[in-house]
Amino acid sequence: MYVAGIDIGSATSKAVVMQGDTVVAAHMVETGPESRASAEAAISGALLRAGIERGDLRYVVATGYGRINVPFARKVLTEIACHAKGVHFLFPRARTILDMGGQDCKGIRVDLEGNHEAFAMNDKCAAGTGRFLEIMAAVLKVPLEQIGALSLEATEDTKISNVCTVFARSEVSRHLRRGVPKANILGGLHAATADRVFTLLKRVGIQADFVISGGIAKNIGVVRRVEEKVELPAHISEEPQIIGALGAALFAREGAESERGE
Amino acid sequence: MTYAGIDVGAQSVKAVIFDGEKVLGRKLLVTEQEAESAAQEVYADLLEDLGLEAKNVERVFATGWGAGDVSFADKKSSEQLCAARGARWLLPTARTVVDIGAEGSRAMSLDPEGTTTNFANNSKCASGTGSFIELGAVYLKVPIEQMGPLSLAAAGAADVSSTCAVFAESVIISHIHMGETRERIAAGIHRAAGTRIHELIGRVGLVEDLVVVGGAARNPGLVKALEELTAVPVKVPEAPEFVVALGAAIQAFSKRDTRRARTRKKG
Repeated sequence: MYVAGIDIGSATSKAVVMQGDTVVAAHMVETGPESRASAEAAISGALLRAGIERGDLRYVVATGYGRINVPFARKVLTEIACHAKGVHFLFPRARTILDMGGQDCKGIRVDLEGNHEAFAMNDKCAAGTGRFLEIMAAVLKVPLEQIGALSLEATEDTKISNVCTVFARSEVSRHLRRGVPKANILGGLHAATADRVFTLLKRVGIQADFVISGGIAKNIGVVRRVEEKVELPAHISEEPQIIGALGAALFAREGAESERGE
Repeated sequence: MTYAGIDVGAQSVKAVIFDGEKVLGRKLLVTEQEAESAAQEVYADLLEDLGLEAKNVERVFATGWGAGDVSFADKKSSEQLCAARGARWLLPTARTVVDIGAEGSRAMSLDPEGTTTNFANNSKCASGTGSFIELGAVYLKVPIEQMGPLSLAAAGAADVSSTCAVFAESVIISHIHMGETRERIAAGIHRAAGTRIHELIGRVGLVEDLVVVGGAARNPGLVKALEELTAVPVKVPEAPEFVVALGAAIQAFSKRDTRRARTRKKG
């Protein structure tokens, strides 16, 4: 029996196909202006990789900010519930989750059954989200995949006094004109991001085990600095961006099972 | 004798020379370089335009974001004080003054004598500053000077979040894909910026006349949005982007007055 979970995020859309306890295929595409088309692209890619047809899917659950635009989903669930579910499946001892995506940042505390207990989110301000670092990478002309590692080469973190992404961008340009090394500027930018994230995590309460998910988990500069702040090592899965979709697929499996039981 | 005010903003440096009764000259330089050299350049150019030399200027006051970098200034003065002094000198009925800069905005309430009694400042967030509308123009691919006129042609306004200038991008892009007109989106951008400025005005308390200064005051779309939100007419002085620099020049002038008065007293 095949089921699927689909997560329509602001920057990327992900689909996960599961059979039993196994992830058969996962596929990620950039979210276009129309979430419906992005959902189609993500699920088609995952089906192709799994080598199955749309009709083979018993149950599909959608999540993410564009979740209401997935016509083939049987059920729609919040990102928080799906994230907690997906993280618990991968790391059963997880209690605190940082999920940082393109346009938001969430702190989630879960119990040992994977139910979420507390939750804090910033989706109002680009500071402390992936978008902040994305914009800075563009200003500094450093590929996004390299900024984290480069930030760890800083001899000192350049103080970034603006919180606002727009103002910090001008500040970074001024530092560049003054000849401040890019690594030091990136050091300051990553430190600022870690500070914002830490404030958010404190609101939900930090307990071991600690998990980082979302696109930011691929940024070693943020991961290291957040680990220092929370004083816990971070568990990171191989594919940290598909956890929401994975959780949705797990809910889809439950949905299909309960249907079969009826 | 003449007096100078230099306003070092985040995007441009403005210089004004004042003789105590009238403005002799104004000059603006959009700056890509360091604040110090930009301030020097615009001041030297203005003196040259007027056929003056630095020694003809009794006192120079600097204000604005980079005021600390103007080494030739005799003194620094706060932007809110300069904005209030400049606005009041141009429009003596001003009781609420709003200064909208590229990277900050502020509201001041003045008593009938012109003394600032309250002020509120936003320098932390691009929403409610000139940058918000500039970014909106980039997202809409419209030259910044056309944003205001474009928004005036709209029937109603598209809903644009006023919380974050960066996140507004995806809102604007989805509006474009949903077939919203550029006019209505432009109107929504002005309304969003206006909403944040209206909140700032609310913090000091609105008393008429409401005077708006700063480069953004030249934008008729923003003025209209503020008039709709505050439900009072907005007055915009001549050359609104120079009002803060003028206020600094006025302070440089009035400083002379107090010093002479003191000297007389002692004598």
